[in-house]
Amino acid sequence: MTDPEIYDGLTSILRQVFDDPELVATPDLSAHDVAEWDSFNHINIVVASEMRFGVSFKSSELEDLKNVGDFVALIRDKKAA
Amino acid sequence: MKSKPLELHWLPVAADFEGELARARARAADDPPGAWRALRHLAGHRIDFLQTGRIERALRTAEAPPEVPRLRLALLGSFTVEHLVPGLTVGALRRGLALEVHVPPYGQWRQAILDPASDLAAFSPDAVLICSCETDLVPRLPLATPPEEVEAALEASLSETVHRWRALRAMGAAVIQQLPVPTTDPVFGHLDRLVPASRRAMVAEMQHRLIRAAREERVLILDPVAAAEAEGLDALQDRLMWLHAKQHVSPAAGPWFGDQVARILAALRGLTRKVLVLDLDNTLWGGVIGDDGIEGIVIGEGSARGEAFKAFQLYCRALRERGILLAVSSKNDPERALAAFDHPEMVLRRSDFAAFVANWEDKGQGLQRIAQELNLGLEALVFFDDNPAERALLREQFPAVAVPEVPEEPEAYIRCLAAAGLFEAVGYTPDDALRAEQYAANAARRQLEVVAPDMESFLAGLEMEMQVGPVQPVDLVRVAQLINKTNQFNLTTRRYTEAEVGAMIGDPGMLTFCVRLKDRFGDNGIVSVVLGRLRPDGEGGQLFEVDTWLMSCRVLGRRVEEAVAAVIARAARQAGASTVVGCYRPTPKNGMVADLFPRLGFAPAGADGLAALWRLDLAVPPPPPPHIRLTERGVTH
Repeated sequence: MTDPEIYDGLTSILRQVFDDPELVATPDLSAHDVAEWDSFNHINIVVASEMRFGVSFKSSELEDLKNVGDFVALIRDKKAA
Repeated sequence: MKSKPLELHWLPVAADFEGELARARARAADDPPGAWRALRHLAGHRIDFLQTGRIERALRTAEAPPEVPRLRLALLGSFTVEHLVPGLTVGALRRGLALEVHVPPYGQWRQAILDPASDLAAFSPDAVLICSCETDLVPRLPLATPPEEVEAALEASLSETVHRWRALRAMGAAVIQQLPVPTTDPVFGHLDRLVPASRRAMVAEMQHRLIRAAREERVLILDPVAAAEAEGLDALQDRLMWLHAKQHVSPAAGPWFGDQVARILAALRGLTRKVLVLDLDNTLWGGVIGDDGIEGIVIGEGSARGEAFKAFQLYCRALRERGILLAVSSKNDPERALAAFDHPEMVLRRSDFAAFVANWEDKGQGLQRIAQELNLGLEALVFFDDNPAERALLREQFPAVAVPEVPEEPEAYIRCLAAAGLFEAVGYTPDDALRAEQYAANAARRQLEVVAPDMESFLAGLEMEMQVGPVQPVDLVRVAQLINKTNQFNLTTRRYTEAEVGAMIGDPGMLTFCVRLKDRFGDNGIVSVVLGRLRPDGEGGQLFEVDTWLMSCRVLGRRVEEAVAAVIARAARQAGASTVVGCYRPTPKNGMVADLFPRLGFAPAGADGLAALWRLDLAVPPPPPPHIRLTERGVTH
């Protein structure tokens, strides 16, 4: 799975979670940039990503994420493994 | 790899989710009820948790039309439950119920129950769902604890739970207790079950006790484990989410969990289906009777497919035994369709069907005929047909009919119908078991109506016997059922839970009437309910105000209401009232009783908003009709 494919998938997820058709997943985007990105929506993003990309995250992996770029790298590594 | 989340697999896939959602949102500005209906339509599809969340947010700008039943639900839980609210709200929406949900602050639900000044008490819930996790209900004990101590600890914990149930029921709420979902892995293996203080043994033991206690306390049970068993428990819970956010039910399973709860809530409001309308060819048997003939159709022993159809028929018959009516809607030559039931392997018989429509007309017309014959609305019907084109057409023509997405293979039919949860109930009474027989008896009554020379001799020929008394605790389940599902002969359409009616029968200021009717064709069970209050009339006397008066449509046209009016009048007079005041609150469905009070000799007494008020002077009480023998509290008149 290529990075652009993962970004596309995440864009679709973010738009649904926040009901915002303008949102685009970019490497620097983080929870600080979206007002409604609270812990509740964070979990929705994680669960939707697991379903969409067919991967499963460990809690330790999720703790170190700083932005969307980190998350994409994590998904890419999991798909490659 | 993740386990597949629990899906709403019995619902059709939405063709254009984004478009429909956008249109519903756009509509909210100037037509909030229209937006609500559009969102309800959208909720009837196989949506995931993100889509469910979006519908719930859109719903906040919509408004339920006035005829839609409302229900206030308090969601109590020791784990995070906020994420379940969208699934619940949208699950209720799918069933035509407007739900308002209250969630007490995290960790404070126990105090909220006991504090009369809590937000929970102020919310005044109609129903309460207690989401308990294993650690809540089952105390933790050292593994070597002797059996007697385990026993005592379980009893102590159970009695706390029962105490809470009682406090909630005293608020007038129906209580739904979720059974704990086992979260602990075994420490031995199979042996855990035999070690009394192991988590596995204790959770299983507690489940049995909770179920027994719930039966006694009239508390309802939500059993997500049993419901999820077929799909796999991992899909229901997600260990990561449990550790991360104390979310015991995985967010992805939210729509599924919400639908499970919503079916119980809908049943509390009488929004449950009553009739299963079945197609014949390739639904009840394999092949086409018109082409293949009785020797050619596939049913019964001999092939896996034949056995699958037979198993489905057995399941339909089990539904009939619990009181669901069966009907047929088939595009077939009527004689040929009937002849198929002579097949020796056929489980269902012609007499199992309360209505049988086989012709070449549009199926929509057939369903309307079935509803009419059974005196029910289209919202009572479930249509089960293997043909996707028929299903799609019917969904479009008559959205009120429930149309499960029937799988291709007959071995999956039962699973689909059972998972759809369209026949969920909140009680089971001997009346339910009798229902299918009663509809057959009704057919015999109609026959008498045809041969009797006039109405008088028809009524006399029925040999009716009416028994009236105050509502008793044993009647509560059936009375609450009637209060919540009777739409047509219902003067005020006020809905009350079993707990609320229970409070009324203990209230000395209330008079309650429970009417049973027998005739020569059988026992109709409880057919009418009247609830009312005695109050001062402002002139030094007393009046009796009828709060609720309803009657089952099965006994329409038999002057039962006249006999009931005579009983009410007499009881009110005996209680010291000089007047009966009645009220008619119009709804889209109760037009048939708009003129009931004037027909019974009541005089107009003004209006209260849309409601018309009527009064009856008890100086001249109405006479009972001659054809009904009346038994009142054991005294024969």
